[in-house]
Amino acid sequence: MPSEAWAFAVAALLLVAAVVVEVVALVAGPAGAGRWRVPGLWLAAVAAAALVVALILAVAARQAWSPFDLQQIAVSLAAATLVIYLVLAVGLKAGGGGLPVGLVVLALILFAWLGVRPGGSAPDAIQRGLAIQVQWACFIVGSGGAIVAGCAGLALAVRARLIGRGRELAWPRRADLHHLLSVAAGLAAVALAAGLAVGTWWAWQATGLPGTGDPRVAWLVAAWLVVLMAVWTYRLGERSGRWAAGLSLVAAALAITGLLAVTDLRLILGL
Amino acid sequence: MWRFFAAPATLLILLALLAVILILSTLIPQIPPDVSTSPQYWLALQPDIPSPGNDLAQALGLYGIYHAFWFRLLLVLTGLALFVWGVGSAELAWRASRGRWTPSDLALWSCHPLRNRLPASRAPDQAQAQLGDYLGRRGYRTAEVTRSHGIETAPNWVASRRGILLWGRPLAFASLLLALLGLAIMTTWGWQSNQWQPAAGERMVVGHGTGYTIRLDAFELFTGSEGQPDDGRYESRITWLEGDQTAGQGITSVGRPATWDGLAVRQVGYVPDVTLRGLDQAGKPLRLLPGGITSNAAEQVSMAFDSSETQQVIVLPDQGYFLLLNLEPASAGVEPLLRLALLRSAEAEQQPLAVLRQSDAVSFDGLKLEVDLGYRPVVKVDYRPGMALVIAGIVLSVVGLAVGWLFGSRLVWMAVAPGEEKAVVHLLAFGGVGESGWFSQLTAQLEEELTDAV
Repeated sequence: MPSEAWAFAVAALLLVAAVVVEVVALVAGPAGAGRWRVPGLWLAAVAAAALVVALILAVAARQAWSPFDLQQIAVSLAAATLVIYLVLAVGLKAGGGGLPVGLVVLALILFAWLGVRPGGSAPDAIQRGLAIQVQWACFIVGSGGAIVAGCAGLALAVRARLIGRGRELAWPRRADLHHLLSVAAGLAAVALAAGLAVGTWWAWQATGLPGTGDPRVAWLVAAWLVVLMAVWTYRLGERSGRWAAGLSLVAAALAITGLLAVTDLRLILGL
Repeated sequence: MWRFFAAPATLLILLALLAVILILSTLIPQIPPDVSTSPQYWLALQPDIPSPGNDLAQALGLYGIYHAFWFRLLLVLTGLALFVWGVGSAELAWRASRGRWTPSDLALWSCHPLRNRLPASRAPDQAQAQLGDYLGRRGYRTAEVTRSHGIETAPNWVASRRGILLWGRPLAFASLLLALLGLAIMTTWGWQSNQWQPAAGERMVVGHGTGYTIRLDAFELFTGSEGQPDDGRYESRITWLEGDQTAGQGITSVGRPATWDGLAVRQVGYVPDVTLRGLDQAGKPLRLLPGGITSNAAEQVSMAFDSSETQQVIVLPDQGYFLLLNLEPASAGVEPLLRLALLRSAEAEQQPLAVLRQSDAVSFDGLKLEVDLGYRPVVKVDYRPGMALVIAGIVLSVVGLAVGWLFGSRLVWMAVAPGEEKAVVHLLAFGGVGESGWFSQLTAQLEEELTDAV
């Protein structure tokens, strides 16, 4: 087993533990929630460190970080999502989306570990510029932000549904989840726009066109537009929270599909 | 019309449509720019596209979404909505920075603002002074709302903190509008030539009313540490000609175009190139005729192998022979491999002559053939007015979005009215994602201040 696979396994185990702790915190009720949330965050933080190690090992094995290596993209996205969630949860003291974030990151790790081969197509000269690396780094940070916002939106939706049924679980405060969603969506809007700016500039310099024709970029631009919609729902007034939650979920789905599944989707459709 | 574009749902629906279209464009084959002169031919070659003659998708322009009329109309509508939203948010920012408000400005504050109502334990005037003092200590700037003459209403203020940053939102709208404008200019007046694969010394008339001709002076492919071609580093020296006069010179490499008078020559790749010349039994130059070319035979021929071609034919008209050139493309730093074969007649079998990785001479039947293996650049010439606006627009939108994200401004409308106790403070702020956090925090602090101070 390659060395990065061990790091994947460690990260996956730690995340499973973090998810279990989050579930325990949820069912422990308001009194026990505080006691369990901190260990959950610590486990997630160690899992994030293991993911960073896995990424470094995967990059070292290929001698370069490549946005065309699906495994590296999946690990990068998982690490970015977890780090962004931890920074926002600790910095804003607005946890609560930990359970969906943990599950999504776990799925990404399993995808990178078991679902995809390392490697990928060799980039040509135009695809190897520093600008391309910066563009994809911004896209991954932005997608991580969109996933965290989407998870907060999902937590809001589940919370509303289960509270409506009278379940007594230790749900985070609605305002905290909205705050997490808002900041994560803002980060996604800025980072995806920065990636788009760098990518457009490079495509213009290298090919004279506004884009390089990579279908993944179109999906990420669509995710950016949906994130902008979520950010600008303030005009919708009282319904804005509900719309923002739904739109953040859509943006997260677009970002994940765009980064990891567009090529397969096109193959399935025979394109 | 203004109300339609200012309606909360309009811009959101337009953005949603744009997102759907972007995704569709990746799932439906799009006509590449290089074949835009013969799209029907390209469509006929696509196995996944039904017969072009009766295809509804083609009638709707789905194979060229970005050039379809309805897509451009959608961009125009989005631009108008961005303009209207930008004007609305700029008006708000302008009023906040001037600190002059009238009761009618309340309409600017969106139809469903965040609201709260706080009881105070003092008379309205005292509560007002207390609020002003507290907000001043918290870094808020307060401005009284100008009341209409003769109408007695409760005292109103608008308190703002980091109000200057309210300009971030109109900046984001305006910059996106700028990017759309640049895109419109580029697609309307811009153009790009097809790929050109010149040998050194070849010329191409730029056309499009420019009066310029470009000439390739030299192409250089740099080698890596192990002597193999480093396909990330190559450059072409270009001369711009006006008639026969040199207008300018430049070097173009990957991501670094050679520009002149708004025109740009871009290096988009390179392809292997084979040059042949030879001598017959009598020592006279061989006449060579590239297959498929109807021009006269020449003593030297040069052929580029682009990515779609791996085999070329050369006719030796005086001998009645055919030369077959098969090229295996370069892979993983390995140079391309050229297989040379002879065909003595159309019915005869191929006779392998040589396998070459570098330039060499080949002899057969008393003929001597010199084979030079090299590379040619692949370049495009374009004129892209408005592209700088597109980039500037996106960069400014990043700035506008980042300002709003990192340093959110605070804007609260307050009214103090006599209530059941001594006074009631009404608070209004913009609703929206993430806004409720600071607003509920502020109202909690104000409530504490207004009741504790008694």
